[in-house]
Amino acid sequence: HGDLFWDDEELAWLLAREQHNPLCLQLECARREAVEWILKVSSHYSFSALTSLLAANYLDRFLFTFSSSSSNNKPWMTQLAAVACLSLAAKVEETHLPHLLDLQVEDCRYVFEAKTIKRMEMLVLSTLRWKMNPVTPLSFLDYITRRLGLLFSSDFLARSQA
Amino acid sequence: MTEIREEVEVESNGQIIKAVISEVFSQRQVYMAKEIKTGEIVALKKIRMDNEREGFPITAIREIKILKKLHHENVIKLKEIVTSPNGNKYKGGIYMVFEYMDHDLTGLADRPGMRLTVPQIKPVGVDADVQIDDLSRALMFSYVFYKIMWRWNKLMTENGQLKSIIKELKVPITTFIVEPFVPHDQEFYLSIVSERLGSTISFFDSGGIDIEENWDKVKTIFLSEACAPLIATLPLESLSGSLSNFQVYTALLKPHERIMALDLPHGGHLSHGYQVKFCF
Repeated sequence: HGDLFWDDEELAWLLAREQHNPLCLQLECARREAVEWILKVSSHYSFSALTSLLAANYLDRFLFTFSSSSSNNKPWMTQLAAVACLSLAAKVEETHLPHLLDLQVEDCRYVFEAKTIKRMEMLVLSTLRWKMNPVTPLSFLDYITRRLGLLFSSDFLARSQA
Repeated sequence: MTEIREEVEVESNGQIIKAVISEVFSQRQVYMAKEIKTGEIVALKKIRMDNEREGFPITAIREIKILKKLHHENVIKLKEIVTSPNGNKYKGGIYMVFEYMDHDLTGLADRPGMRLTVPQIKPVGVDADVQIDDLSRALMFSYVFYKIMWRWNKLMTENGQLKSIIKELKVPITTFIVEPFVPHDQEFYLSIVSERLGSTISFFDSGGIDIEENWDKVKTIFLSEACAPLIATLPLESLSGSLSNFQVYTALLKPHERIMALDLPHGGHLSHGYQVKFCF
């Protein structure tokens, strides 16, 4: 049975906080490449599913906001943004962090200095207005499993996340 | 009260707000600032950027993450984060904007003969009485007054609001998932699931004053005769540090939100165990 301490309010709250960011088509390709890279690095370092999700979320929101204000999208910029977003997500969520240089594995076309990444991190943070805890699909999954009474089945959650 | 040192401009959401910065604690890089437009007095805390090798400091990210999640009248409010534009000595500085508090616990403890009055303590007592319909939460709140002072840096305004601020955590943190209270007979249980082995629930590295070490001083300040009846109703010291600390943190969180604590190799405590059940 589900737990009585939760009710529909939480679901309503999640839905209210969920944001949709349609990305313009020209960035779609670069974005897909970046997200694939994020997933590869995440699995390389065994980051949690939430870390990848957060990184992709940051990247989407960043690209969405940034692409509307600037027209020159160089390929390395998306890559740099991806590195910064993954680094930020790992800092938010992970316990053990690889060094910034070590983070850039899995066929990086560009390797950025820590100093550069830091500046990009700050640009991302301010662009996202420091909102680092967005609603992700996992928030819903988490809610639903609890509503269905799968509270203590952490295996189920782990398998679902995978 | 404080000498005005410098006028800087900080940028907030693209808008530039002028602030007068005067140094309060220079070594901690915390400043008192006044927003020119509204005249509101706030506290600015500069985010330190000493180590460029790992990018934006993880400690700052986690501090912001925690503070943004804590909405409680006894926890200081992180109003926003501002940046100062280039061109002055605060070049590229990033500041966390807090409510301005008149005192901190260190200052109070050092003031001879300092006693808090009933009105200054009362809001905390009221907290323990409200929300009786939710027994677990009421229990939580009753511990807040006592345990919120543990290791957390205390700030106190003149009108009696007890605030605390989380200091930067300097080492990697492990997260815990707080499971809900499950009624079990007459008692309430809370289970904590550690995501990784070897993690603990404690904030050894936080807080400006070590309350345990300075307990005599702190007791003198807070437990004056006039306040004794208020305090006496609270189940003080019924639990030891880790359990009580944990209760405070849970009092401030909603179910299933997370508490972050130190990893064992980084100063966490073995006594907090792995997968635990706390009984109230």
